[in-house]
Amino acid sequence: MSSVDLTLGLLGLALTVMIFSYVLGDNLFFRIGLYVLVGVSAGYTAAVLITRVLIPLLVQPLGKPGTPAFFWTLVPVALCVLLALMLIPRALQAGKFPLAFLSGVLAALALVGISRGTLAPQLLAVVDRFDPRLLTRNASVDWRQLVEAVAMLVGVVTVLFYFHHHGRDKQSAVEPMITSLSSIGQIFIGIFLGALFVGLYSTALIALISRLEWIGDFISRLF
Amino acid sequence: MTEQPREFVICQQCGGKNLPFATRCVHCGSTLDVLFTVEGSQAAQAPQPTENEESDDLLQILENLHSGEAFRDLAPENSGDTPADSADTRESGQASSGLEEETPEWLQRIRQRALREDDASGNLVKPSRPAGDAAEPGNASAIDREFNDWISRIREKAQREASRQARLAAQSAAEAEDGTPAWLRRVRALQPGDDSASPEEQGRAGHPGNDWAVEWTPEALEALRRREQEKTDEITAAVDQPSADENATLDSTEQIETLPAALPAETSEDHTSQPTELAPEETQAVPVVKESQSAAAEQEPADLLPEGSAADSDESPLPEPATASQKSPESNSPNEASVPEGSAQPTEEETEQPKQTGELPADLVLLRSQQENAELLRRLIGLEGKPSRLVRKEQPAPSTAGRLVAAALLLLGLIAAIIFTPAQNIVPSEPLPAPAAAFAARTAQLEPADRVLILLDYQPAVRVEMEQALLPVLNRLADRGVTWQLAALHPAGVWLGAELTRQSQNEQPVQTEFLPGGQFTLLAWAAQVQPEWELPRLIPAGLGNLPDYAAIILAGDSESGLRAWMEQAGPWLKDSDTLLVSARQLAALALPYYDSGQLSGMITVLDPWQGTEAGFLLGTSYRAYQAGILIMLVLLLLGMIIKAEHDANLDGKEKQP
Repeated sequence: MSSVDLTLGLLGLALTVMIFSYVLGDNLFFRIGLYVLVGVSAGYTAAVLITRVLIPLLVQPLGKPGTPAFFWTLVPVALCVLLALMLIPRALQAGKFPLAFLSGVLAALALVGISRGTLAPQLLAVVDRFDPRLLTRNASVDWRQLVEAVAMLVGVVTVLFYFHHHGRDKQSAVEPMITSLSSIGQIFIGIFLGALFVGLYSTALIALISRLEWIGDFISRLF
Repeated sequence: MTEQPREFVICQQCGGKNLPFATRCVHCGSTLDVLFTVEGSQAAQAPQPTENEESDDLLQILENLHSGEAFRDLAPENSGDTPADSADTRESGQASSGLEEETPEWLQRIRQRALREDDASGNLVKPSRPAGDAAEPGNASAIDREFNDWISRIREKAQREASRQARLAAQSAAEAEDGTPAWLRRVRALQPGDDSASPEEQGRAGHPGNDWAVEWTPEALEALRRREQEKTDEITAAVDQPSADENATLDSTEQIETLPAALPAETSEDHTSQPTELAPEETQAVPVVKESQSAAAEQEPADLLPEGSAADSDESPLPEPATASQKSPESNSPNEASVPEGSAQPTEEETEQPKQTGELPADLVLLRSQQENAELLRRLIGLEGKPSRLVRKEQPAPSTAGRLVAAALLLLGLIAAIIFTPAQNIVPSEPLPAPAAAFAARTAQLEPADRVLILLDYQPAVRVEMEQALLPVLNRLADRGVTWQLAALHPAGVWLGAELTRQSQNEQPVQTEFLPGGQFTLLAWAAQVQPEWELPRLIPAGLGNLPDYAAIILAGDSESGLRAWMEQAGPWLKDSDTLLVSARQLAALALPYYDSGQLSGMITVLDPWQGTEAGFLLGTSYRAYQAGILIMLVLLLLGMIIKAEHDANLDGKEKQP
């Protein structure tokens, strides 16, 4: 093991123990480890953005005056200047223009994207589950596929009823039915949240195991 | 609602504002020289005025007091200023020396006598300055007599008030045997209407008292005053039963007392923070008005009656307090003899003051702020014992020891699993999940000439998991001779890609390209938006057009990154297959995209899609993973059991009487 590997290994071991110390509560060592992580990440991100974005896409075109790239680069430069003016209280209004531009474009992209990329395909998938070709096997009903399709449809409908639960007329005649549907929707939501928790815990557990294995391997190499 | 007097008398000692008819400063108790100074000076100038002349002079004096002429006379060096301005300048000390030098002799004598009679009536009456010292010998005796009578009346009133307060306190103490605190009885006493009802009951019943408390109107306050006055009069009459002369004297003195009680309605801005009990300073402000009223009553008793006080006495629930001058005007004659007839024709407002205030006990005259405080207190009392929606049930702080035990248990379990588990490959007997099977099938269809793009969209925290899942994929692609490229959607993906390339079996080094712009870049790249003019290329030169790739493998750990791809780039890629190498935390969220056909396949680190080649499933890691899941299940079950037992104990305690 080289001295560099040893130094980096000891440093990594110390930082790992610092982060583990959060088990004892928020303490100085945990904060030190956290600040080191945040600082290093921010510094690396800034370095990447400068070398791979700002210099090639902004600085270099400005070094070629008279070219189309030069004039088109003036647009983001102007937006950046307006955004930087927000640091001055009196020029706060100027910075709203690039923010409004970004917000508008993002809203438009999100609206179209959700419609085309999420809502329409997945609603169609729920309907396509009832395609007779999928529900039959060897000229008989494929009960497994049918149960899956019905469960998926019931899940989507009841969850939508659950989120539509608020604000409706409490005195309506269909109130009991809607309440029952929303209660069923809660079951699906509970299953979904349970699966989400298991996924998060699995990821954290895998990270912990990997760190424990790394520590064991490092100590074994030391001795 | 209240009107502030347009002019004030400025105290020379403290600079505070006082009402125009005040003879004592309500702030510091010092003598306000204005009135007597002018009287004395005029007496010196006109030794024997006739009654009409004296009346006219007094009216002129009052007008001068209001217009500030008298102040200009006192401070000629500030003749161009208003009294307030003069006070300001005196306060700053610029003109104080000049005033002392020009103080007339009669004023010095007045002050000397005031000093000699300092605290003549204890704490209630501050030293008073008789005007007779400055007058001629002929007027001195009359003024002294007036002053002495005035002092005696105030002293007598103070003694009577003290005795009455003592009786009320004794009676309150007798009523406090039911355990009701004094402050609560006082709040309830302020509630007009049924005293037996609790504040919360009155609030629920929509008692008018609530309206009075919320909307303070003069009518409601007057009704309250009269009701309380009835009670007080009954108590006082039953205990004392003074003689007629005493009644007359007391009525006249109580008339004095009621005036300051009514003043806060007109000068609420100056008195909102003062207590309701009559301060000694406040009593000093009375005699001028009392004199004018008494003199007017002596001259024209019928005209000076408050409107409706005599004729409407049957309608009024109270015995009119202003009857001192009506019952026996001669009883006040010695005192009012020095006041010229008609010298103080009371205005309509002045004559109505006794009717408005009555003989109210001073502690029942409430200011607006006090009423608001009383209303707030009443609400708090009403809320006592009731559950509040805003009050959260305090959760016990998580025990550090419990957390430490759980963490230690988890760590020990994992370490034990790593150390003592035999290193053998885990081959799950279950068949591959459908998404993993589809992933394996699609990668098996790739040809050596195909190009595959791998998009890195995960954080360094899950680097080990993602590398464990990605490395078998890269190795399989390398085995099949498929060309693959790396692109990162986050800056951190640059070094993550480099680390991934280093661990792979690919012979040719692959550079990881960074794609700035997020979903904007994805949309532009997928839609192949390329302007005709020459622009800096947003997509790195090492990457080709997106539709040209045979397959695109997303390596992500966040739902936002997956959605950005599916919503912006996915609809444009009809001929390219999108595969997903997912972290465990993203797997549940990505399944709908697989069901809808937007994903051609998906694997996680735990899917043994390549059997023994799966890195994470090699030996100890998977055993430790299983041990960790088992420990978490045990902890969850224990937590549920303990929580259920705790809730059961709480329910049992609540059901116990």
